[in-house]
Amino acid sequence: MSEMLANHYFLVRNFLPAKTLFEKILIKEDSNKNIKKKLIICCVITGEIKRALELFTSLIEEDIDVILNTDLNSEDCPCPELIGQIENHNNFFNSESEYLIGLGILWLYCDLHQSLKYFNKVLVLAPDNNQYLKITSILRKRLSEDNPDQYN
Amino acid sequence: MPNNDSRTDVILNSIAEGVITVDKEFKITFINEAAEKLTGFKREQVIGQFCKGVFKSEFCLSNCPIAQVLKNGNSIFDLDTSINCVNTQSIPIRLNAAVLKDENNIPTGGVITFRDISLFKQVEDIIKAESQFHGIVGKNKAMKEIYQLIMEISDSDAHVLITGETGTGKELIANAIQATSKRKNEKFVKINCSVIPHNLLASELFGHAKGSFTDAKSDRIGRFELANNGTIFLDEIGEMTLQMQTQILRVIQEGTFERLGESITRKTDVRIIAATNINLEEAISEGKFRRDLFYRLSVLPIELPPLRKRKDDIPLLIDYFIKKFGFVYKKNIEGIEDKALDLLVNWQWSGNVRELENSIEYAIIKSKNEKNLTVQNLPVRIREKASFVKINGKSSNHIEQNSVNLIELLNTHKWNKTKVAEVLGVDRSTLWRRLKSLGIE
Repeated sequence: MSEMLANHYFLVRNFLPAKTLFEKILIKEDSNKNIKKKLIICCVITGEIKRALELFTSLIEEDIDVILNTDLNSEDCPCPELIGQIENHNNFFNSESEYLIGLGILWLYCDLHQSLKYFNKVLVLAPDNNQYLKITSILRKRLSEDNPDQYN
Repeated sequence: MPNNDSRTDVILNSIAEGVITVDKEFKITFINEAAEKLTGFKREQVIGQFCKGVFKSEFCLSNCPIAQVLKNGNSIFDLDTSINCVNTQSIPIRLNAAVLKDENNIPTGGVITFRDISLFKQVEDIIKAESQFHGIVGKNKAMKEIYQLIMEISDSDAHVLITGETGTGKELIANAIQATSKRKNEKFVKINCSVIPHNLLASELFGHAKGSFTDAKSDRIGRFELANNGTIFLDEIGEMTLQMQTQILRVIQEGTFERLGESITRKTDVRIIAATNINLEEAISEGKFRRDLFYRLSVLPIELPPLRKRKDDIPLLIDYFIKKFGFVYKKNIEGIEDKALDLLVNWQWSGNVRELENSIEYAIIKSKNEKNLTVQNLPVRIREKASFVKINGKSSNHIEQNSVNLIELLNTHKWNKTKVAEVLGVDRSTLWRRLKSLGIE
């Protein structure tokens, strides 16, 4: 169980073995934010939306900057290309809500505003869902902090 | 005093092999000067970048060597592949890869060392074009019989013992056996038993466990484990100690061994090709080599003839070496003059093909604008012989040779001075005076 090997799989976009290894490492290093950050993407792209959402919620509650401060180029973040693939083939997920959640999660690595747009749509589908409410609340709060003039 | 890091940098920058290290994220942390020169990438361009983003090689995605080491746990040695340079041109390289670990044995990075083998590949093309059998040059009857034998044993997994004087090409024969065998796609591990100190050979062949001796800082697999399912070439097997011979015998008989300092018995399935230039039967009678091992190894014995017994191959070999070294040293040499060829054909070649190869390399380096190699291009020891033999009936200055050469000639003729004088084309009294002046009685 090597983090380095998991990183390799992640780097070459082989997300299934990367996910398996990151999950094992996370059992030992449950506070490792960098592993959570990559594991979330692996879970989205392997269709494990529930697990992705669980990790995503806990990470943005704890430290949203880990995701927001992603440098797409220097971190070789796969999100832009994955978003492109998902948006062009919307049969990627089993349901409309999974599709919106998946994109909402991935967009946060690239653009907070776009991410919130998708989570707002998720909220329309399930307005009473506490988890979605919590996510949109965190994202809105952060957006208003970043753009005080626009949101105050 | 420079600190450890700068000292390491100096060391790594002083070697001709390219060295690149990455961290656990596969971001480049170090590139030495040789790697900069080979790839064209500058240090400041690549440090901190993902290696796949820099080299953009197909193998980065499908067959990353460091990832292979992480998956298998075995370092990679001498993998032939290619690397993309700054100008997107791809160069063939031979690389080694290993994983760097912390004190808890957790991978923290990787290191790749590599060298440009473009020239080697081009030379390989020449070898392919010129050789008669898997890189071997020679049409002599004895050699043809060996080629035939190698083809006949290609379906067999039996161990092979190659004997022959030094420089006769035992390793080339081993390569040919491997290349035509059922195991040709498996690992082929070579080890020269004479260059590794006796006390380290066991560790090299069978591996060791961490702490088994002072410098055993981590577990290490041995060559027999590395060659599992493949072939191992044990060169200079006659130099092994009797104790080591016993261990080799056990691998042959049972296919088992233990790493040094470990009690776990491991299995391996390895075909052994052994080679030696010593007379093993004599070594057996002197108690230096185990008879049982000899019989186990020599299931398929191959004896290579010395070059002096295949003189008909010498012109062919000369022609091949001229092409090879002419290419390597960028000299446009077409062939060799008859006088020089005569000398080479009649030389005793105690160092066999290797000596001939070195002599032609020397001649090519020494040549200037000649179209053909001449006597003057040949090594001194061969040229000096020229003055002892009558060439075109002339024999001037032969008597002016030094004492060593005269003694050599006298030895050849059992100190028959009349005969030597005849060979030199001088009368007996002239030879006598010359010997006296040199202080030779």
